[in-house]
Amino acid sequence: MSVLWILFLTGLLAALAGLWWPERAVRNLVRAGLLLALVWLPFVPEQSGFGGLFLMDGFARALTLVGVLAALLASLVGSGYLERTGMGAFEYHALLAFSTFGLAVMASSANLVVILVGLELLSLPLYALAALRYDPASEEAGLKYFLLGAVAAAVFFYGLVLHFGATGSFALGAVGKGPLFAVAVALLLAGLFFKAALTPFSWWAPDVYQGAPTPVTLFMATGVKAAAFAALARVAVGVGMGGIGGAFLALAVLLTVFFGNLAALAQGEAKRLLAYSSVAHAGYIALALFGPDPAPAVGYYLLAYALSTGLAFAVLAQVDGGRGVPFGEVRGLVRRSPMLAGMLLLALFSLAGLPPLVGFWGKYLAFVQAARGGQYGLLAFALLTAVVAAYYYLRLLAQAFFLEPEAKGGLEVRPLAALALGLVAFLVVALGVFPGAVYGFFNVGGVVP
Amino acid sequence: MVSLLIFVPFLAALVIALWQEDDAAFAKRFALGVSGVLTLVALGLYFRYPGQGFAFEERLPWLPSLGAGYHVGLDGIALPFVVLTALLTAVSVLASWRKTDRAFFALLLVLEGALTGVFAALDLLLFFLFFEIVLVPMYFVIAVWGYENARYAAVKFLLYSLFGSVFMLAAILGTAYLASGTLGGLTFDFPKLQKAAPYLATLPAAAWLFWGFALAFLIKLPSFPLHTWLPHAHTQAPTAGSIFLAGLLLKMGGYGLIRFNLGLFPAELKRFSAFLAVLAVISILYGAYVTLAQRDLKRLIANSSVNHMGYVLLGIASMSAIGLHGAVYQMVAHGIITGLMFLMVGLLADRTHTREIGAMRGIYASMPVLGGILWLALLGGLGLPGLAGFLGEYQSLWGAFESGLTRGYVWFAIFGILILVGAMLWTIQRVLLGAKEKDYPDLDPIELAAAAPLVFLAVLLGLVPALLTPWIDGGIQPLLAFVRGIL
Repeated sequence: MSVLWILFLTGLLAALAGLWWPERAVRNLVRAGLLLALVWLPFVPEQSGFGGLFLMDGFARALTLVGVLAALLASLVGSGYLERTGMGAFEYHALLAFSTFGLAVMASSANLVVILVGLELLSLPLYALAALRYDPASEEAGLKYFLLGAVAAAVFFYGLVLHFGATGSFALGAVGKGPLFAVAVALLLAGLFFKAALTPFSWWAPDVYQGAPTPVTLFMATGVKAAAFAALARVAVGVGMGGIGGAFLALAVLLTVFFGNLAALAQGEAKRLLAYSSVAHAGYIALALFGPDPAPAVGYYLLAYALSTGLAFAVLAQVDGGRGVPFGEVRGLVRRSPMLAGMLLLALFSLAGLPPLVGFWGKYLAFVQAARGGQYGLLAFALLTAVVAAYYYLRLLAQAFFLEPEAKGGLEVRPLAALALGLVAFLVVALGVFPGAVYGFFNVGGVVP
Repeated sequence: MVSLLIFVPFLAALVIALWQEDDAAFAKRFALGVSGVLTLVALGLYFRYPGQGFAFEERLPWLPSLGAGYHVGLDGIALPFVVLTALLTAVSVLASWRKTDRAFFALLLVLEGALTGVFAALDLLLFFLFFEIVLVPMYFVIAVWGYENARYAAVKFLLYSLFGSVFMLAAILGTAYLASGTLGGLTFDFPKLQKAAPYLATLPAAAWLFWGFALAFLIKLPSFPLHTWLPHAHTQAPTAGSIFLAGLLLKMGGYGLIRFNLGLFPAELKRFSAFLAVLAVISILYGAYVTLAQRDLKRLIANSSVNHMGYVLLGIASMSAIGLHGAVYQMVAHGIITGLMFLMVGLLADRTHTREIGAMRGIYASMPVLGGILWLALLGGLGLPGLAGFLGEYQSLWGAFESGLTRGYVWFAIFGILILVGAMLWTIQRVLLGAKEKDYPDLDPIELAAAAPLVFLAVLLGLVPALLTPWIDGGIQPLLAFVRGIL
């Protein structure tokens, strides 16, 4: 409970304080709140409350940690971007805190209604955040995200209602059968596929990721994905992967890793490329759901992915002047800032799954789960697409390393942002060499009581 | 000690990366010093090898929950490559003495550490880790400092390798999980997994696992039809990169085939040995034939490697003691001689500003030292008795002839020798012989220092095989005893 309170009060105080205090104070307040939640999380005891509506189990703790980490990173590396683009600054941090609260709610329940509430709490601030830059691209992103997000929520809600009809319960794990239950499962999964950006419900992702302010994209790609997969894992395990759920998920994974990677090949804009890559990664994470013990794999993959993609977007946020990041902006990054280029290298190689970086272990755990679940065909296909993925990461990397820069001059990175970048880069390497260091925290039992 | 050989280069690369001054004067001296000292350390280990099985083993817990540990050790198969890695790093640094980027030298050191790790790792996951780390510095060495089509070649190299790697990773996981039942727990430890080999041999999945490993190693080796990355990468890489590629990266393939395909799946190797022998013979013939047709001197040498590695594959497919001896000897000899060829051709191209064979003539007349060494290297490449290359080829073929598995294929391979002899002699005639056309400066002392150890070894290992064969025997005999226990 305590973490939810911390996050809730942080958001509330930040929203109020922003009216009187300077932006700087709100910023520090939010960062302090997020940091407190992050440090506090490992010590939170496993508990449940409100008759099972609230459930702080190991899985919730692990995924909330990933989400809070993502929010903290988004807050720390965002300031420079906000100033360059003249975005409303205190709103950014306050909305971020609220969204993180929603994320924690969504992750800490195995009850469909509470998950829906968390989903909305997470999404509403995000719609505003996506549109925060007040230019056509940003507004388009916000509107698109809102419309499709609303449809997704409605679909999920429909599934929830049918689930109740079929089983007489909102709690996951309730046993049901028959066509009504099958439709309910399909709708519940489809609603969450939207948020997790699994094809064929991922068409919004590239546009929204590209149009939204880069630090917001960072949070969407990492924190939101963690929350979506927290719910998806619980739903998938709750309804069982034996029947239509498994078939539906398998089809989605197949399409996701195929289209995500294929479309990424053709991109000429870094954020859009990473958006497609994030779609593809959703497919790899979902592979873990077929295994007998998906929680550690999903959690660790999300951590690895949040660190790697977070690092990549954090670097792009330093480069981005508000008009997105076409390849030309990244060109010759190594001459303008060797440090940022080095971090981009770590991030992209980690996303490509090269050891000894943390991304490798995420893939490792997820693929092992898929193999233990007997999904050999899907696994072989995913492995092949992972090689394709290396090619587009290299394309982006080649821009940064082998070409002459278009823009002259170095890049200004704020001290705190540099610190955050450095820490994340360190974690990408350190957790790659010693993945056991935090694995215990993610090695939790089941995801449904 | 082995860990020192692996991690000191990484630390040295870090020192170079963090060094304040931006010129390479310090970087190259430091890199030379580190790799020189490590060469001596590796040689020390080489001569302290007890003569049988694995030695110098070190174990540390690493990922106990996954059953993976830090386990390194060397046997007579790995030791020559570890020495060669350190030595060729020093040679490459000397060969790149004119380079002005310190990052280049840092990457060479990273390569050295990772390659040593590949040859020393006795844990499959650790092996995979180093196997993959090798790719990254090599990619950058080719892409940044290579010739005109370097980026294309670098990407092709990396994608080919990754393609093989994912299948190897799948095979590693499959092996460990399938063996976990008989071993009483998940482990990636190579000696432990070897104990499960009799059980693995009974599984229907063994063939899949075998090919998962083999695909990665056949790409690295490379064998026809997976060799098409090689001419690009070797031709476009800078001299030091070509030395590393030919001298060491290809050896990862042959080493892996012996260590893992033979060491874990001997029954499958026996089952598919005819197929591998056919691939080997095609590589030998086709590699030699394509070598004949090259106009680019570097590409010519690159293609001759396909031919040379064919003998390695043939020796491995024979599964006989002599054939395996030949395979290892051939790899070591090829590392020295082809490394020397690439070194000389690189230095030659720096002077003539072209790699076109048609544009060079009378090189021996204008540069007697460079020409003479290149002459020696080309003769070594065609397998002249008295030089290191002869023994490996001879033993591979003899082993393949003695073994019932591959006898029928040896006859075809012999034509490969003829064609390659023709190609090499024709190259000598076109490039080295003839009247002097233009004056070029001959090798300077630093370039000579780079070539000297390789020339010395090429002759020494041609005349005194006793400096290498007992070591190889110490690795091969326990392996064959183990194989006989399973078959």
